[in-house]
Amino acid sequence: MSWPAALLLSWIFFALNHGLRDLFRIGDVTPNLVYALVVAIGLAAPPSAATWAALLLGLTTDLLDQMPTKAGEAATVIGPHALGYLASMQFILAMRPLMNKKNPLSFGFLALTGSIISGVIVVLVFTFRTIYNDPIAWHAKHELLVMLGSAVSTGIAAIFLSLALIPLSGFLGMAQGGQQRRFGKRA
Amino acid sequence: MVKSPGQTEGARRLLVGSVVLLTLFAILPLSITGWTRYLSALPRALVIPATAPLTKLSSWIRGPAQHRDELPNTQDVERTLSEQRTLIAQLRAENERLLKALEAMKVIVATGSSAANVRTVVAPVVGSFSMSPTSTIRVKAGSSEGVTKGSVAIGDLSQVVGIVTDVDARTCTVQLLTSKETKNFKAAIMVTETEILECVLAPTSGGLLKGDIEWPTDPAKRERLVPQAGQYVRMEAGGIWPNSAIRLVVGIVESIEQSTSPTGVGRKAVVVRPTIDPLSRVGEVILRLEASPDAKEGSP
Repeated sequence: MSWPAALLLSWIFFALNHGLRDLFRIGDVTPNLVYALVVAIGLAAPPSAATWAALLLGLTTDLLDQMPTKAGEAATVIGPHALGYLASMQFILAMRPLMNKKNPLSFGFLALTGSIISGVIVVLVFTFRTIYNDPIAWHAKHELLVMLGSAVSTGIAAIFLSLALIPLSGFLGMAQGGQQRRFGKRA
Repeated sequence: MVKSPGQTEGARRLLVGSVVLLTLFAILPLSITGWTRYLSALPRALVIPATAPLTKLSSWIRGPAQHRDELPNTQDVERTLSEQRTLIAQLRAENERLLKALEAMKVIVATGSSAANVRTVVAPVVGSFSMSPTSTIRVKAGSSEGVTKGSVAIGDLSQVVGIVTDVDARTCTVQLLTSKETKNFKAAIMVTETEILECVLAPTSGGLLKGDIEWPTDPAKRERLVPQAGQYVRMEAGGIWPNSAIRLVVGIVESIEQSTSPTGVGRKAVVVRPTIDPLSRVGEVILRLEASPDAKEGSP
Protein backbone atom coordinates (compact mmCIF):
# COMPACT_ATOMS: atom_id res chain seq x y z
CA MET A 1 0.00 0.00 0.00
CA SER A 2 1.27 3.46 -0.87
CA TRP A 3 1.23 5.37 2.42
CA PRO A 4 1.65 8.85 0.85
CA ALA A 5 -1.32 8.16 -1.42
CA ALA A 6 -3.34 6.85 1.54
CA LEU A 7 -2.39 9.94 3.54
CA LEU A 8 -3.54 12.24 0.74
CA LEU A 9 -6.79 10.34 0.33
CA SER A 10 -7.35 10.40 4.10
CA TRP A 11 -6.89 14.17 4.12
CA ILE A 12 -9.44 14.52 1.31
CA PHE A 13 -11.93 12.25 3.07
CA PHE A 14 -11.59 13.99 6.42
CA ALA A 15 -12.16 17.31 4.66
CA LEU A 16 -15.19 15.88 2.85
CA ASN A 17 -16.51 14.40 6.08
CA HIS A 18 -16.30 17.68 7.98
CA GLY A 19 -17.21 19.98 5.13
CA LEU A 20 -20.25 18.11 3.86
CA ARG A 21 -21.47 16.92 7.25
CA ASP A 22 -24.27 19.46 7.43
CA LEU A 23 -25.33 18.75 3.86
CA PHE A 24 -26.21 15.14 4.69
CA ARG A 25 -27.34 15.72 8.24
CA ILE A 26 -30.72 14.35 9.28
CA GLY A 27 -31.29 15.41 12.88
CA ASP A 28 -28.17 14.26 14.74
CA VAL A 29 -27.44 11.56 12.19
CA THR A 30 -24.58 12.15 9.74
CA PRO A 31 -22.80 9.64 7.51
CA ASN A 32 -19.16 8.93 8.29
CA LEU A 33 -17.49 9.30 4.90
CA VAL A 34 -14.08 8.45 6.36
CA TYR A 35 -15.39 5.01 7.19
CA ALA A 36 -15.91 4.33 3.48
CA LEU A 37 -12.17 4.82 3.10
CA VAL A 38 -11.57 2.43 6.00
CA VAL A 39 -13.65 -0.16 4.14
CA ALA A 40 -11.77 0.50 0.89
CA ILE A 41 -8.43 0.00 2.63
CA GLY A 42 -9.73 -3.04 4.51
CA LEU A 43 -10.90 -4.67 1.29
CA ALA A 44 -7.70 -4.17 -0.66
CA ALA A 45 -4.66 -3.44 1.54
CA PRO A 46 -2.41 -6.03 3.19
CA PRO A 47 -3.81 -6.95 6.65
CA SER A 48 -0.94 -5.38 8.58
CA ALA A 49 -1.16 -2.08 6.69
CA ALA A 50 -4.96 -2.15 6.88
CA THR A 51 -4.83 -2.62 10.66
CA TRP A 52 -2.44 0.28 11.15
CA ALA A 53 -4.40 2.44 8.74
CA ALA A 54 -7.62 1.78 10.67
CA LEU A 55 -5.91 2.64 13.94
CA LEU A 56 -4.46 5.88 12.56
CA LEU A 57 -7.72 6.92 10.90
CA GLY A 58 -9.57 6.25 14.15
CA LEU A 59 -6.99 8.21 16.11
CA THR A 60 -7.34 11.15 13.72
CA THR A 61 -11.13 10.95 14.11
CA ASP A 62 -10.70 11.10 17.89
CA LEU A 63 -8.49 14.16 17.57
CA LEU A 64 -10.79 15.97 15.15
CA ASP A 65 -14.16 15.13 16.70
CA GLN A 66 -14.12 16.88 20.04
CA MET A 67 -16.75 15.95 22.60
CA PRO A 68 -18.85 18.53 24.44
CA THR A 69 -18.58 18.59 28.22
CA LYS A 70 -21.42 19.31 30.65
CA ALA A 71 -19.87 22.76 31.16
CA GLY A 72 -20.17 23.45 27.43
CA GLU A 73 -16.48 23.13 26.68
CA ALA A 74 -14.85 20.89 24.07
CA ALA A 75 -12.79 17.91 25.17
CA THR A 76 -10.57 15.52 23.27
CA VAL A 77 -10.74 11.84 24.16
CA ILE A 78 -8.15 9.70 22.42
CA GLY A 79 -9.00 6.05 21.89
CA PRO A 80 -12.70 5.30 21.35
CA HIS A 81 -12.74 5.65 17.57
CA ALA A 82 -9.24 4.24 17.18
CA LEU A 83 -10.27 1.10 19.06
CA GLY A 84 -13.58 0.98 17.24
CA TYR A 85 -12.01 1.25 13.79
CA LEU A 86 -9.39 -1.33 14.77
CA ALA A 87 -12.01 -3.84 15.90
CA SER A 88 -14.18 -3.25 12.84
CA MET A 89 -11.12 -3.63 10.62
CA GLN A 90 -10.61 -7.09 12.07
CA PHE A 91 -14.19 -7.84 11.04
CA ILE A 92 -13.58 -6.48 7.51
CA LEU A 93 -10.38 -8.49 7.18
CA ALA A 94 -12.25 -11.59 8.29
CA MET A 95 -15.09 -10.94 5.85
CA ARG A 96 -13.17 -9.82 2.79
CA PRO A 97 -12.44 -13.28 1.35
CA LEU A 98 -16.21 -13.67 1.11
CA MET A 99 -16.80 -10.32 -0.55
CA ASN A 100 -16.84 -9.22 -4.16
CA LYS A 101 -14.45 -6.29 -3.92
CA LYS A 102 -15.67 -4.71 -7.15
CA ASN A 103 -19.27 -4.62 -6.04
CA PRO A 104 -20.49 -1.38 -4.44
CA LEU A 105 -22.95 -3.35 -2.35
CA SER A 106 -20.00 -5.07 -0.62
CA PHE A 107 -18.80 -1.61 0.37
CA GLY A 108 -22.24 -0.76 1.63
CA PHE A 109 -22.61 -3.92 3.66
CA LEU A 110 -19.15 -3.72 5.23
CA ALA A 111 -19.57 -0.01 5.95
CA LEU A 112 -22.90 -0.67 7.66
CA THR A 113 -21.77 -3.61 9.79
CA GLY A 114 -18.30 -2.18 10.44
CA SER A 115 -19.84 1.14 11.52
CA ILE A 116 -22.10 -0.66 13.96
CA ILE A 117 -19.15 -2.55 15.48
CA SER A 118 -17.10 0.62 15.70
CA GLY A 119 -20.05 2.60 17.05
CA VAL A 120 -20.85 0.04 19.73
CA ILE A 121 -17.28 0.23 20.99
CA VAL A 122 -17.38 4.05 21.03
CA VAL A 123 -20.69 3.99 22.94
CA LEU A 124 -19.32 1.38 25.37
CA VAL A 125 -16.20 3.43 26.08
CA PHE A 126 -18.08 6.67 26.73
CA THR A 127 -20.75 4.87 28.76
CA PHE A 128 -17.99 3.30 30.87
CA ARG A 129 -16.63 6.79 31.52
CA THR A 130 -19.96 7.84 33.05
CA ILE A 131 -19.27 5.44 35.96
CA TYR A 132 -16.86 7.94 37.48
CA ASN A 133 -18.93 11.03 36.75
CA ASP A 134 -17.08 12.00 33.59
CA PRO A 135 -17.55 15.69 32.65
CA ILE A 136 -18.40 14.71 29.06
CA ALA A 137 -22.08 15.18 28.28
CA TRP A 138 -23.22 11.68 27.30
CA HIS A 139 -26.62 10.04 26.95
CA ALA A 140 -25.94 6.43 26.03
CA LYS A 141 -29.41 5.58 24.70
CA HIS A 142 -29.56 8.64 22.46
CA GLU A 143 -26.01 8.13 21.25
CA LEU A 144 -26.69 4.47 20.47
CA LEU A 145 -29.66 5.42 18.32
CA VAL A 146 -27.65 8.14 16.58
CA MET A 147 -24.85 5.63 16.02
CA LEU A 148 -27.25 3.15 14.40
CA GLY A 149 -28.66 5.88 12.19
CA SER A 150 -25.16 6.98 11.25
CA ALA A 151 -24.22 3.39 10.42
CA VAL A 152 -27.14 3.11 8.00
CA SER A 153 -26.31 6.44 6.36
CA THR A 154 -22.61 5.49 6.22
CA GLY A 155 -23.55 2.24 4.47
CA ILE A 156 -25.60 4.12 1.88
CA ALA A 157 -22.86 6.74 1.40
CA ALA A 158 -20.25 4.00 1.03
CA ILE A 159 -22.18 2.48 -1.91
CA PHE A 160 -21.87 5.77 -3.80
CA LEU A 161 -18.32 6.49 -2.68
CA SER A 162 -17.23 3.03 -3.77
CA LEU A 163 -17.78 4.16 -7.36
CA ALA A 164 -14.77 6.44 -6.83
CA LEU A 165 -12.88 4.28 -4.34
CA ILE A 166 -12.80 1.09 -6.43
CA PRO A 167 -10.90 2.78 -9.30
CA LEU A 168 -8.71 4.56 -6.74
CA SER A 169 -7.41 1.23 -5.42
CA GLY A 170 -4.77 1.34 -8.13
CA PHE A 171 -3.73 4.87 -7.07
CA LEU A 172 -3.33 3.56 -3.53
CA GLY A 173 -1.03 0.83 -4.86
CA MET A 174 -3.13 -1.93 -3.40
CA ALA A 175 -5.14 -3.20 -6.30
CA GLN A 176 -3.75 -6.66 -5.79
CA GLY A 177 -1.94 -6.17 -2.50
CA GLY A 178 -4.68 -7.39 -0.27
CA GLN A 179 -5.97 -10.13 -2.49
CA GLN A 180 -6.18 -13.40 -0.69
CA ARG A 181 -7.13 -16.55 -2.47
CA ARG A 182 -9.82 -18.50 -0.78
CA PHE A 183 -8.85 -21.90 -2.16
CA GLY A 184 -5.16 -22.80 -2.35
CA LYS A 185 -2.37 -21.00 -4.21
CA ARG A 186 -2.37 -20.14 -7.85
CA ALA A 187 -0.19 -22.45 -9.83
CA MET B 1 -5.10 -9.96 18.13
CA VAL B 2 -4.41 -12.35 15.26
CA LYS B 3 -0.99 -12.02 13.72
CA SER B 4 -1.39 -10.85 10.13
CA PRO B 5 0.63 -12.41 7.35
CA GLY B 6 3.83 -10.43 6.80
CA GLN B 7 3.63 -8.84 10.22
CA THR B 8 6.88 -8.96 12.17
CA GLU B 9 6.96 -9.73 15.88
CA GLY B 10 8.11 -6.15 16.58
CA ALA B 11 5.23 -4.68 14.62
CA ARG B 12 2.80 -6.96 16.43
CA ARG B 13 4.15 -5.90 19.83
CA LEU B 14 3.93 -2.26 18.78
CA LEU B 15 0.30 -2.77 17.75
CA VAL B 16 -0.58 -4.50 21.02
CA GLY B 17 1.19 -1.73 22.96
CA SER B 18 -0.74 0.88 20.98
CA VAL B 19 -4.03 -0.83 21.73
CA VAL B 20 -3.24 -0.96 25.45
CA LEU B 21 -2.21 2.69 25.42
CA LEU B 22 -5.35 3.73 23.50
CA THR B 23 -7.54 1.73 25.89
CA LEU B 24 -5.97 3.55 28.82
CA PHE B 25 -6.45 6.93 27.16
CA ALA B 26 -10.03 6.02 26.33
CA ILE B 27 -11.05 5.20 29.89
CA LEU B 28 -8.88 7.51 32.00
CA PRO B 29 -10.57 10.67 33.32
CA LEU B 30 -10.19 13.96 31.49
CA SER B 31 -8.29 15.38 34.46
CA ILE B 32 -5.42 13.03 33.53
CA THR B 33 -5.74 13.03 29.75
CA GLY B 34 -6.79 16.66 29.35
CA TRP B 35 -3.45 17.59 27.83
CA THR B 36 -4.26 15.48 24.74
CA ARG B 37 -6.41 18.32 23.42
CA TYR B 38 -3.18 19.99 22.34
CA LEU B 39 -2.52 17.02 20.04
CA SER B 40 -5.65 17.85 18.06
CA ALA B 41 -4.15 21.15 16.92
CA LEU B 42 -2.10 19.58 14.12
CA PRO B 43 -4.83 17.50 12.43
CA ARG B 44 -7.25 20.39 12.83
CA ALA B 45 -4.78 22.80 11.26
CA LEU B 46 -4.41 20.40 8.32
CA VAL B 47 -8.06 19.50 7.82
CA ILE B 48 -10.10 22.57 8.78
CA PRO B 49 -8.77 24.86 5.98
CA ALA B 50 -9.69 22.20 3.42
CA THR B 51 -13.23 21.97 4.80
CA ALA B 52 -13.96 25.69 4.34
CA PRO B 53 -14.90 25.56 0.61
CA LEU B 54 -16.92 22.40 1.22
CA THR B 55 -18.76 24.01 4.12
CA LYS B 56 -19.58 26.99 1.89
CA LEU B 57 -20.77 24.62 -0.81
CA SER B 58 -22.86 22.78 1.76
CA SER B 59 -24.40 26.04 2.99
CA TRP B 60 -25.00 27.17 -0.57
CA ILE B 61 -26.85 23.97 -1.44
CA ARG B 62 -28.78 23.43 1.76
CA GLY B 63 -28.53 26.55 3.86
CA PRO B 64 -30.50 29.19 1.93
CA ALA B 65 -33.42 26.87 1.17
CA GLN B 66 -33.49 25.69 4.76
CA HIS B 67 -33.26 29.18 6.17
CA ARG B 68 -35.86 30.53 3.80
CA ASP B 69 -38.35 28.12 5.29
CA GLU B 70 -37.30 28.97 8.81
CA LEU B 71 -37.36 32.75 8.41
CA PRO B 72 -40.59 34.10 9.86
CA ASN B 73 -42.62 36.83 8.24
CA THR B 74 -41.40 40.37 9.07
CA GLN B 75 -44.89 41.38 10.18
CA ASP B 76 -45.05 38.36 12.49
CA VAL B 77 -41.73 39.36 14.03
CA GLU B 78 -42.88 42.94 14.55
CA ARG B 79 -46.17 41.79 16.06
CA THR B 80 -44.39 39.39 18.38
CA LEU B 81 -41.93 42.13 19.32
CA SER B 82 -44.77 44.51 20.07
CA GLU B 83 -46.55 41.88 22.18
CA GLN B 84 -43.39 41.13 24.08
CA ARG B 85 -42.75 44.85 24.73
CA THR B 86 -46.29 45.25 26.03
CA LEU B 87 -45.87 42.21 28.24
CA ILE B 88 -42.57 43.56 29.60
CA ALA B 89 -44.18 46.95 30.31
CA GLN B 90 -47.09 45.27 32.10
CA LEU B 91 -44.76 43.10 34.14
CA ARG B 92 -42.65 46.10 35.08
CA ALA B 93 -45.73 48.03 36.20
CA GLU B 94 -46.93 45.03 38.20
CA ASN B 95 -43.48 44.66 39.69
CA GLU B 96 -43.40 48.31 40.74
CA ARG B 97 -46.88 48.01 42.25
CA LEU B 98 -45.89 44.94 44.24
CA LEU B 99 -42.66 46.56 45.40
CA LYS B 100 -44.60 49.58 46.65
CA ALA B 101 -47.11 47.36 48.38
CA LEU B 102 -44.30 45.38 49.95
CA GLU B 103 -42.68 48.55 51.22
CA ALA B 104 -46.02 49.66 52.62
CA MET B 105 -46.54 46.34 54.37
CA LYS B 106 -43.03 46.53 55.82
CA VAL B 107 -43.86 49.90 57.35
CA ILE B 108 -47.11 48.57 58.78
CA VAL B 109 -45.30 45.66 60.37
CA ALA B 110 -42.45 47.86 61.60
CA THR B 111 -44.80 50.35 63.19
CA GLY B 112 -46.60 47.64 65.11
CA SER B 113 -49.99 47.55 63.47
CA SER B 114 -52.36 45.05 64.99
CA ALA B 115 -52.00 42.79 61.94
CA ALA B 116 -51.80 39.70 64.14
CA ASN B 117 -55.42 40.16 65.21
CA VAL B 118 -56.69 40.84 61.74
CA ARG B 119 -57.85 38.38 59.15
CA THR B 120 -58.47 39.33 55.55
CA VAL B 121 -61.10 38.57 52.95
CA VAL B 122 -60.41 39.31 49.31
CA ALA B 123 -63.57 40.32 47.50
CA PRO B 124 -64.47 41.77 44.09
CA VAL B 125 -66.23 45.08 43.70
CA VAL B 126 -69.62 44.52 42.07
CA GLY B 127 -70.87 48.08 41.91
CA SER B 128 -69.64 51.65 42.15
CA PHE B 129 -71.76 54.65 43.09
CA SER B 130 -69.26 57.46 42.93
CA MET B 131 -71.78 59.99 41.59
CA SER B 132 -74.01 59.63 44.60
CA PRO B 133 -73.68 62.09 47.46
CA THR B 134 -72.04 59.41 49.55
CA SER B 135 -69.52 57.78 47.25
CA THR B 136 -69.77 54.07 47.89
CA ILE B 137 -68.86 50.78 46.32
CA ARG B 138 -70.64 47.45 46.59
CA VAL B 139 -68.41 44.51 47.50
CA LYS B 140 -69.25 40.84 47.11
CA ALA B 141 -68.60 39.76 50.70
CA GLY B 142 -71.05 39.90 53.56
CA SER B 143 -71.81 38.79 57.05
CA SER B 144 -71.47 35.14 56.01
CA GLU B 145 -67.76 35.86 55.52
CA GLY B 146 -67.55 37.67 58.83
CA VAL B 147 -67.80 41.22 57.47
CA THR B 148 -69.21 43.68 59.98
CA LYS B 149 -70.00 47.37 60.02
CA GLY B 150 -66.78 49.27 60.57
CA SER B 151 -64.54 46.77 58.76
CA VAL B 152 -61.82 48.45 56.73
CA ALA B 153 -61.51 47.89 52.98
CA ILE B 154 -58.10 48.31 51.40
CA GLY B 155 -56.74 48.10 47.87
CA ASP B 156 -53.23 47.40 46.56
CA LEU B 157 -52.48 45.72 49.90
CA SER B 158 -52.20 48.92 51.94
CA GLN B 159 -54.26 51.81 50.51
CA VAL B 160 -57.36 52.49 52.59
CA VAL B 161 -60.37 52.40 50.26
CA GLY B 162 -63.07 52.98 52.81
CA ILE B 163 -65.11 51.64 55.68
CA VAL B 164 -68.03 49.18 55.63
CA THR B 165 -71.27 51.01 56.42
CA ASP B 166 -73.86 48.40 55.53
CA VAL B 167 -73.77 44.60 55.43
CA ASP B 168 -76.09 41.85 54.29
CA ALA B 169 -75.44 38.14 54.03
CA ARG B 170 -73.57 38.18 50.72
CA THR B 171 -72.57 41.80 50.06
CA CYS B 172 -71.55 44.93 51.87
CA THR B 173 -71.40 48.64 51.13
CA VAL B 174 -68.11 50.45 51.54
CA GLN B 175 -68.10 54.19 52.02
CA LEU B 176 -65.05 55.53 50.24
CA LEU B 177 -62.34 57.35 52.15
CA THR B 178 -62.80 60.35 49.85
CA SER B 179 -66.58 60.38 50.26
CA LYS B 180 -67.98 63.68 51.52
CA GLU B 181 -69.68 61.74 54.31
CA THR B 182 -66.37 60.58 55.70
CA LYS B 183 -65.64 62.33 58.96
CA ASN B 184 -62.35 64.02 59.79
CA PHE B 185 -59.67 61.61 60.88
CA LYS B 186 -56.15 61.80 62.23
CA ALA B 187 -53.30 60.89 59.91
CA ALA B 188 -49.51 60.95 59.98
CA ILE B 189 -47.25 62.39 57.30
CA MET B 190 -44.25 60.07 57.14
CA VAL B 191 -41.47 62.68 56.93
CA THR B 192 -38.93 59.94 57.56
CA GLU B 193 -39.43 56.24 58.28
CA THR B 194 -39.67 56.94 61.99
CA GLU B 195 -40.63 60.61 62.32
CA ILE B 196 -44.08 61.88 61.56
CA LEU B 197 -46.09 65.07 61.41
CA GLU B 198 -49.67 64.70 62.51
CA CYS B 199 -52.58 66.19 60.64
CA VAL B 200 -56.36 65.98 60.58
CA LEU B 201 -57.70 65.17 57.13
CA ALA B 202 -61.10 65.64 55.61
CA PRO B 203 -62.38 64.82 52.11
CA THR B 204 -62.34 67.63 49.61
CA SER B 205 -63.28 67.98 45.96
CA GLY B 206 -61.64 65.91 43.24
CA GLY B 207 -61.14 62.80 45.35
CA LEU B 208 -58.50 64.49 47.49
CA LEU B 209 -58.07 64.86 51.25
CA LYS B 210 -56.97 68.05 52.94
CA GLY B 211 -56.20 69.08 56.48
CA ASP B 212 -54.12 71.28 58.76
CA ILE B 213 -50.71 70.08 59.86
CA GLU B 214 -50.16 69.94 63.60
CA TRP B 215 -46.63 71.16 64.17
CA PRO B 216 -44.62 69.80 67.08
CA THR B 217 -44.01 72.13 69.98
CA ASP B 218 -40.26 71.39 70.00
CA PRO B 219 -38.64 74.14 67.83
CA ALA B 220 -35.74 71.85 66.78
CA LYS B 221 -38.16 69.17 65.66
CA ARG B 222 -40.30 71.73 63.90
CA GLU B 223 -37.21 72.91 62.03
CA ARG B 224 -36.17 69.38 61.08
CA LEU B 225 -39.51 67.96 59.97
CA VAL B 226 -40.39 69.40 56.60
CA PRO B 227 -43.45 67.98 54.81
CA GLN B 228 -42.96 67.55 51.10
CA ALA B 229 -44.88 66.31 48.09
CA GLY B 230 -44.42 62.58 47.59
CA GLN B 231 -44.33 61.64 51.25
CA TYR B 232 -46.68 58.90 52.39
CA VAL B 233 -49.57 59.70 54.69
CA ARG B 234 -50.86 56.98 57.00
CA MET B 235 -53.92 56.48 59.16
CA GLU B 236 -53.66 57.22 62.88
CA ALA B 237 -55.80 55.79 65.66
CA GLY B 238 -59.04 57.49 66.57
CA GLY B 239 -62.49 58.38 65.28
CA ILE B 240 -64.61 55.82 63.50
CA TRP B 241 -61.62 53.95 62.13
CA PRO B 242 -60.82 50.65 63.84
CA ASN B 243 -57.39 49.59 65.02
CA SER B 244 -56.94 47.45 61.90
CA ALA B 245 -56.75 50.69 59.88
CA ILE B 246 -53.81 52.13 61.82
CA ARG B 247 -50.74 52.83 59.69
CA LEU B 248 -52.49 51.92 56.47
CA VAL B 249 -51.81 54.29 53.59
CA VAL B 250 -54.19 57.18 53.20
CA GLY B 251 -52.35 58.60 50.22
CA ILE B 252 -49.35 60.61 49.08
CA VAL B 253 -48.75 64.30 49.80
CA GLU B 254 -49.86 66.19 46.70
CA SER B 255 -48.96 69.68 47.90
CA ILE B 256 -48.47 71.87 50.96
CA GLU B 257 -50.74 74.89 51.00
CA GLN B 258 -51.69 77.73 53.27
CA SER B 259 -54.53 76.70 55.56
CA THR B 260 -57.93 78.21 54.77
CA SER B 261 -59.78 76.86 57.79
CA PRO B 262 -60.97 79.38 60.41
CA THR B 263 -58.93 77.64 63.10
CA GLY B 264 -55.80 77.29 61.01
CA VAL B 265 -54.88 80.90 60.21
CA GLY B 266 -51.18 81.12 59.56
CA ARG B 267 -50.80 77.37 59.55
CA LYS B 268 -50.03 75.05 56.68
CA ALA B 269 -52.35 72.46 55.25
CA VAL B 270 -51.53 69.27 53.45
CA VAL B 271 -53.34 68.01 50.34
CA VAL B 272 -53.29 64.23 49.99
CA ARG B 273 -54.13 62.11 46.96
CA PRO B 274 -54.89 58.39 47.46
CA THR B 275 -52.50 56.04 45.65
CA ILE B 276 -55.53 54.55 43.89
CA ASP B 277 -57.09 57.45 42.06
CA PRO B 278 -60.06 57.55 42.01
CA LEU B 279 -60.89 55.07 44.74
CA SER B 280 -64.21 54.20 43.07
CA ARG B 281 -62.28 52.52 40.22
CA VAL B 282 -60.88 49.80 42.46
CA GLY B 283 -61.80 46.36 41.10
CA GLU B 284 -61.03 44.28 44.15
CA VAL B 285 -60.64 45.05 47.82
CA ILE B 286 -59.23 43.33 50.85
CA LEU B 287 -61.53 43.52 53.84
CA ARG B 288 -59.60 43.60 57.10
CA LEU B 289 -61.70 41.93 59.75
CA GLU B 290 -60.72 42.25 63.35
CA ALA B 291 -60.72 38.80 64.95
CA SER B 292 -62.76 38.31 68.08
CA PRO B 293 -60.64 37.93 71.24
CA ASP B 294 -61.56 34.26 71.63
CA ALA B 295 -60.68 33.41 68.01
CA LYS B 296 -58.01 30.76 67.67
CA GLU B 297 -54.66 31.94 66.37
CA GLY B 298 -54.17 31.14 62.66
CA SER B 299 -57.82 30.51 62.00
CA PRO B 300 -59.04 31.98 58.70
